[in-house]
Amino acid sequence: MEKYEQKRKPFEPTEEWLAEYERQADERLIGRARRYAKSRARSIAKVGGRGADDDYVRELVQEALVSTFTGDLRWDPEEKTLEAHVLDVVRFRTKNDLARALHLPHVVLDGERVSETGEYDTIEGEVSEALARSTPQSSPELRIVVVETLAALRALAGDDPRVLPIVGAIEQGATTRDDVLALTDLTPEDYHTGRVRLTALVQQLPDSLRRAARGMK
Amino acid sequence: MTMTTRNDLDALDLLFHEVALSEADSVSTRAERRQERDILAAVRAMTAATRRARYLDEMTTPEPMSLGALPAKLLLWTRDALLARIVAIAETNPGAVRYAHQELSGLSDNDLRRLVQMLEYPLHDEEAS
Repeated sequence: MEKYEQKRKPFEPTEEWLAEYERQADERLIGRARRYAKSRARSIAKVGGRGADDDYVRELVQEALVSTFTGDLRWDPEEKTLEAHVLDVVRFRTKNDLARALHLPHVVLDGERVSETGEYDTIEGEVSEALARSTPQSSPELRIVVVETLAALRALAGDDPRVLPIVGAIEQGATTRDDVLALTDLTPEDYHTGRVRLTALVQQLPDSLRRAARGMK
Repeated sequence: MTMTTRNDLDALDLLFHEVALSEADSVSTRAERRQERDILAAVRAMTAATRRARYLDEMTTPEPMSLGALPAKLLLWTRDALLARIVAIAETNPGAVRYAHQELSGLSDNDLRRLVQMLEYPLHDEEAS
């Protein structure tokens, strides 16, 4: 901690950065970020994460915006919009919360690399490297949760031609939207439609998944 | 394909990310919009505090000689009149001044006079006396 404090440089946003932050941090962004965070929290609760209560959701969104403003998490307005950045932060924080809920090693997000490099890093770089360092090679229990989740979605989807390819691609190891599109014949429009349908199905996932995940040690 | 814990985490992450993106496109309820306004208010208070600190820094920095003494007319203006003038300048010249109302509450009457002087009188030197 001492090393962290010593190397950390105060973040002083430029006038342009500050103006851009103020312009983009509006009600629309916060609405989208809150709905995104609520959905993430609710989905992750289905497989053992903490619930999606209002305080947690608010904390996710507000902390993302505050950590960005204070410079704990770097945002470059020329690289991405503030909304894309905030959603990334919420995504990785909830992913980390899931790892913690499943008793997997988790990472400290804020400023971890600052102490090593003296520079603020992107959220993606910080999280991916930290996860790579800390995640064990295999976890049979997590494997079971994933297999059961995808099997439940497959059962709920019936013969939906847009949902089943997405579930199949994830079963094959797809971890990005581009992976899914490359592994299937879905058009981007089909993918979008399938995603909307998946949203309803995830909300119908059985509570048994949560109990199974909570039983992991 | 051999699945690792990282793959499994990423698989769930992708699934829930896509679902969340879909839900981000939906509409908030009235109660949810109240929560969002609360977050927005907290964020605006934070940015306003930074703005206020910057203004105060500027105000305590020795002023350039070219700014000169406060115009006599400004010394007679009340706080409300000064605030109204700043609002009017902001409305007629959106690029000339950017502020939040909370920032101005941290400024003294004299600070406000200096602000109006900086914004207005350099353009209207003939009115300054």
